Amino acid sequence: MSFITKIKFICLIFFCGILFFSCKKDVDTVIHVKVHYKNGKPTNISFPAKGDITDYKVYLEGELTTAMLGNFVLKHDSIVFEPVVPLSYELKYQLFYNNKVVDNFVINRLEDAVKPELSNIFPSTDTLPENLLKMYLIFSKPMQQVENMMTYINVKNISTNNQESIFLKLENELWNKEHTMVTLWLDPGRIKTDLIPNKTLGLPIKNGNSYELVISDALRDADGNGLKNSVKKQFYVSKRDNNKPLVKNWELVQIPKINTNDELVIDFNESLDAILAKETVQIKYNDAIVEGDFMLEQNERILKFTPKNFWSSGSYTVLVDTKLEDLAGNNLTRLFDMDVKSDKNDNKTMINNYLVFNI
Amino acid sequence: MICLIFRENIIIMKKLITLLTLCFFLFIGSTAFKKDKEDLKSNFVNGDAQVASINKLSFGPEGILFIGDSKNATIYAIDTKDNQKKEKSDNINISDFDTKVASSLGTTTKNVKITDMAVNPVSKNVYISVNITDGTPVLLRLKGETLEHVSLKDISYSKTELSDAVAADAKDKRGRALRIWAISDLKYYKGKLMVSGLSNKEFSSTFRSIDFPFNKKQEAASLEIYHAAHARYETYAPIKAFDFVSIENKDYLLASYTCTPLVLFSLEELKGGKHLKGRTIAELGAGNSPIDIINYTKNGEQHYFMANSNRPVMRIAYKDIVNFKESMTNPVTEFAKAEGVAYDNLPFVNVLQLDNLDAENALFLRRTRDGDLVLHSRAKQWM
Repeated sequence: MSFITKIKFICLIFFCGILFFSCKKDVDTVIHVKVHYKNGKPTNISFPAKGDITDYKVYLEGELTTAMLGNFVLKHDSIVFEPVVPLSYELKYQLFYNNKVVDNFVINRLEDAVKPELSNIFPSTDTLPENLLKMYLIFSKPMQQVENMMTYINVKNISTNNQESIFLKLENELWNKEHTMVTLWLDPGRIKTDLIPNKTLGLPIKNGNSYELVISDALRDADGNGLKNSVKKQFYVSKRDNNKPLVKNWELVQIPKINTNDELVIDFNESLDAILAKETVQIKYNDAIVEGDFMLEQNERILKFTPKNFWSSGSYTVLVDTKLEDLAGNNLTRLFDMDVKSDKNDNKTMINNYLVFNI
Repeated sequence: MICLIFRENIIIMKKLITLLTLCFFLFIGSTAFKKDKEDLKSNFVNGDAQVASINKLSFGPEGILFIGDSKNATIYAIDTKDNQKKEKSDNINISDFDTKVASSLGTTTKNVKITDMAVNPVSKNVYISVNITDGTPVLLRLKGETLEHVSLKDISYSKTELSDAVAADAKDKRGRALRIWAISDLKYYKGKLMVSGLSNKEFSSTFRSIDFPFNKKQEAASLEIYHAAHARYETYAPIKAFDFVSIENKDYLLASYTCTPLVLFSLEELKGGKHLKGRTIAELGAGNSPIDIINYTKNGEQHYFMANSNRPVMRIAYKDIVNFKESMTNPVTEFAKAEGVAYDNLPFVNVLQLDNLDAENALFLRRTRDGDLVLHSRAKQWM
């Protein structure tokens, strides 16, 4: 090999080395990850396309034994990483190239992210019968679907200063499809007289005692946002309700005028189940359902109905489905806690489930 | 000489005919077998299965994974193409399994919930279904100690909607939402997919037998049991976990419910919406719910194993089930007392998922005393 050839060979190796290290340096130093959102969720990240796409990995910070599952896709001059599920807010991630960290990034919450609120707790009244069967919590947004609600609910007997476990813990909780409303059951086995749990543990809430229900602000929505505020509800427990709801005791306290869409106002004379009360009452005119909106007021004791169209002259019927329940789960046809020897269970008597009014 | 040549030719001819006959039958046999194999997936389509929730997983033949989706009230059959036969699984022992699942999805354990686990009996690979905070379902497969994502967006599948399934907003007689109960367990057995859950007809417990490959045929029966711990007959309680037992050449469903009554139903009688009365053979304790039932034979004796929410894994001998001829119709008056068929409590508590891993091993997903979630195999010899 001549001297010139040797020089050429050394130069070639030198330039190759420079080229190799400069390429590697590019990947090491220039990466800046961009986070992309779709419908408010951080669905993917992108960064400038450099180096071999198969040498990239994304990790949750501190969990370097398990790389995130997802696809790296080359799009124009960027590499896009699409994880299997959206990234999580407030967590830190690391992008690796050839087993070296090339960027750290955090998923910040969007500035316009709205925190969920507990809009209603039903029953809303602060005096409840000792055989209360259920409570409803209504949220302003869909809530998380992985943790048990009981983790975030605390009940204290103010009268005895003891923490109480009054709700039934269910493996699969009773949410609506939108995941905005959950039904909490007070243990039916403790409410029904003479069942073994009733005998050994007694009623979940007791006549003459006051309680405080607290829902923690650590409870999260489907996007991981905590409740805007913790919510407290205090209530006093009165004697048990051993009566079925009676439609004949209802009062029509406001009958609307013809050619108006004034409200029809019904007084139940007791608080009824907040969800069933709106679902089970219908207004009928000539056998057709009158369309309109129902609204409950005064601790679910007053039901107001506003029709879509003006009232006509004639006879209207307020028809009630017999499954309507009071706060103790008694419906129009039977008591929840039945005493088989009692006359109150006589289902053979005709059930009055309608009222009539004329305009 | 001529005779000798002639005899040799005859022998060769005979051998040739035998060989050709053998080839013919082999060809016919392989064609029939191939056809049979192809038939199971003949109505599968490719694309996005649009699974809304994964409540239950169970394997059928040829690596077909059945997914119970309560939100859609649909059963999906997924071709996992995971058909590489393996007789024996490697040992599995993975600590902090929930952290591993969460990290692979780029999140923490508080944002994930493992909803079910199933082992592919062909490949012995483990499949895990996971829910994330917003309810999105994810299917994962364990390879060694690494998790892989099984996409349901581009897959070969078939599906069947459950007829008369519970409406999404249906409520039971106490006003409880029923949707979550629509599919409570499913298993493939002798060419049919068996599904327990609730029907929206009078909100009673319904057990279905669905032909597979799926067609329009679904046999359903409403089931009635005497629940001795509640001292009453029940029709609305759904079976939480089930398996099959063969007694005197008849197949029975071995069903377990919340508060743990164990009941036998004749599969023969499961036809056209019939109302079936079960024979309650055990009350395994109130305040408990069964999670999974598996069975296997060791030392020539068949045993059933049941994982529970609030009790250890129970072992029940097949012969004890066969020998229990009574039907329990008297109330159990003491809370949580067990009566009926005998069982052994095994020293495995907080078992959240249970499946057969291979002929020699079972697979547990278990929460240990110090809170660690462990996925581990266990030799059946020691169960």
